[in-house]
Amino acid sequence: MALDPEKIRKLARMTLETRPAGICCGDWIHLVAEYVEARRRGDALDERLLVVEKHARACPSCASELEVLRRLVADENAGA
Amino acid sequence: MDAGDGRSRRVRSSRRTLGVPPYARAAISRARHHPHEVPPGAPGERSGSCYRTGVAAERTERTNEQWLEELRSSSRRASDAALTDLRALAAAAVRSAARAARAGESTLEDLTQVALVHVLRQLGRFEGRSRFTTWVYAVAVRAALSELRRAAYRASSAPLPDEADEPASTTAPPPARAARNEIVALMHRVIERDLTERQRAALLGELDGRPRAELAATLGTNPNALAKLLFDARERLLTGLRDAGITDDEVSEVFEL
Repeated sequence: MALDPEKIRKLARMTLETRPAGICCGDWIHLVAEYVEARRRGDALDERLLVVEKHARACPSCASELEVLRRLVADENAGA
Repeated sequence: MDAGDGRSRRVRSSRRTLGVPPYARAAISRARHHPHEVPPGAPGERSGSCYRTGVAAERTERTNEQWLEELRSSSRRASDAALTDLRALAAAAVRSAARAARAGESTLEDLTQVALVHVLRQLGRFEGRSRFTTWVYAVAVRAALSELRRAAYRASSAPLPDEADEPASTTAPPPARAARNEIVALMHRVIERDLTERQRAALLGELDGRPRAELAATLGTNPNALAKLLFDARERLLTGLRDAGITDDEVSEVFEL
């Protein structure tokens, strides 16, 4: 099986339009910093930030990034 | 874990140069060619503690606006100082990512360069809703983990078709083409190995432009179940790309989407 260039491009577009929990990984990364800070402050999360959590539950790669970021920010705040 | 054979360097190089905003080009160039260049009096020169502790504890405090202003500044001194501190942030993020991925320290320097370039390229997407430093950590962590995933994927997978089918050549393909070839090969691999037979049939039918109703009838299912099959297939492809360290932005750039 070898897809022609046009189909490959179409497939790439279809793949990028796939949004686990309503958001793509490319947009998620730009929300996650705000989410981590809100979590640390104990703020109530609005729908926009709750999507960060939902997406992480559906996307293992983003979940691992969230975990590292949480720890990094916690270490920084602890003055490590 | 090695993140840097010759081929991967070519591919990474293409990723580094695609879509770089003009204001970041000079900074990226300096970051690449003079990674240890620390301007006189710049905060990073004081002790290099950012690298030792893994957290940029001694950097100059800046507001979000100051960060952006200095990084985009036409003043070499201002932008170098900000770039030095930015690099320290990226280094801290990379160190944490590498620790989480249980990667050795030998690639930290390369990973920091990659992460720094990613951050500079993405500056225009920072909306100021968080601290700039937290946003930098997020982007740098993704860049580092993506590189580490890519290295692990390469180490565990067979040669890509373009490598296996073609005789060894001393002429490297253009970086953008190398990156494209890598992604195309990976997509084929996921379709062939990771999708179920029904997912594959649904996806290929969709790519052929077959009407959904006809495709559903062929597969002996209904349009709703077909939509789920297609979603699952696309999600598996997305996961396959991410597992191999390829980000959405890279796919967008390579295919000009």
